[in-house]
Amino acid sequence: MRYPSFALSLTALCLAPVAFASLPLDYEARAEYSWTENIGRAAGEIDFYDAAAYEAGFTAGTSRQLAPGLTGRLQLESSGTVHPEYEELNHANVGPRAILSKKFGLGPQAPVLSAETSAIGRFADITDSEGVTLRGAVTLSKRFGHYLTAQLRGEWQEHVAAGDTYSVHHRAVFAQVFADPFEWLRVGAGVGRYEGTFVAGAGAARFAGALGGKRGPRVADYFATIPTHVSNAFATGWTDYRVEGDVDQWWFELSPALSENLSFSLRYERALATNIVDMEYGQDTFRLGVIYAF
Amino acid sequence: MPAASARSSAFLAAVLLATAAGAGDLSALVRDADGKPVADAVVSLVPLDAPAPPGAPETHPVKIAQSGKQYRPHVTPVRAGTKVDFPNEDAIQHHIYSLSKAKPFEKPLYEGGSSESVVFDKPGVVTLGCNIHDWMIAYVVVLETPWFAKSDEAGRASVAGLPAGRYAVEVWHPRLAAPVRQELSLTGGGALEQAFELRLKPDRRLRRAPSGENKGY
Repeated sequence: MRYPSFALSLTALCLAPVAFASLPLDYEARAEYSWTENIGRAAGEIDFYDAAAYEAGFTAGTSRQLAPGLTGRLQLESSGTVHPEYEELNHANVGPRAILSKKFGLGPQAPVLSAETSAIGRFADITDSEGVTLRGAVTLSKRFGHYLTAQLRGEWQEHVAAGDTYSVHHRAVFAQVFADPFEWLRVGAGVGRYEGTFVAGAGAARFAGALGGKRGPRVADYFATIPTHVSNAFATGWTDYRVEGDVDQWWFELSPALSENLSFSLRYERALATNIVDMEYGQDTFRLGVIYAF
Repeated sequence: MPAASARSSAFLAAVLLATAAGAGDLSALVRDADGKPVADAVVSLVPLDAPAPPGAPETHPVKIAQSGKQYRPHVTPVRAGTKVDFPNEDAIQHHIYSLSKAKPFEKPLYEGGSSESVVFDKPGVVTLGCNIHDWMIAYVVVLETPWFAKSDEAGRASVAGLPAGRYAVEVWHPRLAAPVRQELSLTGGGALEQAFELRLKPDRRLRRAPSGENKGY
């Protein structure tokens, strides 16, 4: 079977409700189509590849009140992502997430401080990228009036992968606001900044050129020290490599609700990564999603 | 005169008044400014010529269920002193709280299949919420008068057995800035049809539908 990882993920997805069978569960299913420009995170335009992706996900969770105002939540998440044009990018994720939320007071306007941790397994066609993503995050949410909510989030994440190239980590902070001008429409926007390591890529010729000094000695010296992996993801010899740097991200989202349980999401994301030798990697993503809460 | 005795006398007076003059009915039709019927409006009448009969709890069970992550019904009028049951008919836990002056309380999360009860002993509007599911909201309208009704989907609310006399009528609705009040008179044995036009605020509740989250970089 070409995609054993998907079979494993699908099995986990099917078993998720069974694992929690004795608990009062809620469920959420989602599907998404996305279009990403420069999906390979190349620094040079000649290596830009755009791609569509289809993702399906399912989450089963349960919440318990642990003390007055303190709620614990445990959920099992799973998802699978398919890139029809670039099958090497296909992957699936499955794993648990635990969330502890303290609400300071009663009512929708009461601020909520949440701490969460997760360990999400990744199964992928690029086997070097398979591994476990460990994440810890703290989020502060506050609703102002009935229809405006602000969130601040701090996050730490480490992906422990089979190959060094894909073993990345970051610290990040996010600020997000969303407004509900109507019950059926949510408008949101946010900014985020990451610091750490990330995976970028280049065609064989460009990577060899950078190593050879075509982008200057500073880049050549740096590229000689970083882990790389020839993934052939977009073309023969396509090379993924891990760099240190920062990423600035911002997004805008419209989320119309068709019912109390069903909503759509139209989202645009822009990310601009800069590595420590000042190479820039821009990426734009358009997402169209549908979410159903059972 | 002891309070209980006074209340009994007042109740007796009201019953006698109803018997002597013949009980009448009020059929209210509640509509909005566009003429559309308004459901969940509470129409209550307080007699102006005689004291209202003393408040007494409902004899039948009053229930506000937590079902489908909503309170059902959305609006419940009761007499002061009534015990209301809150069965959790969902498979998940729910919570109840009120910050309203007429009845501040909190019932911590409880399991599906179980129930909690609250006695609403003071008149006023009590707004209920669930601290887990912020969109869940319900109103208990606690009244001292026994003469009240809630409008149905057709905007109709009927109050029967009203003694003849003058009444202060009040119409309350969650989307009204302030209750609508007016005075009317009922003659013995008569049936009065009365229309009320409400200028309602937009129905803007908290969003319940799910939302996505940032997927990171």
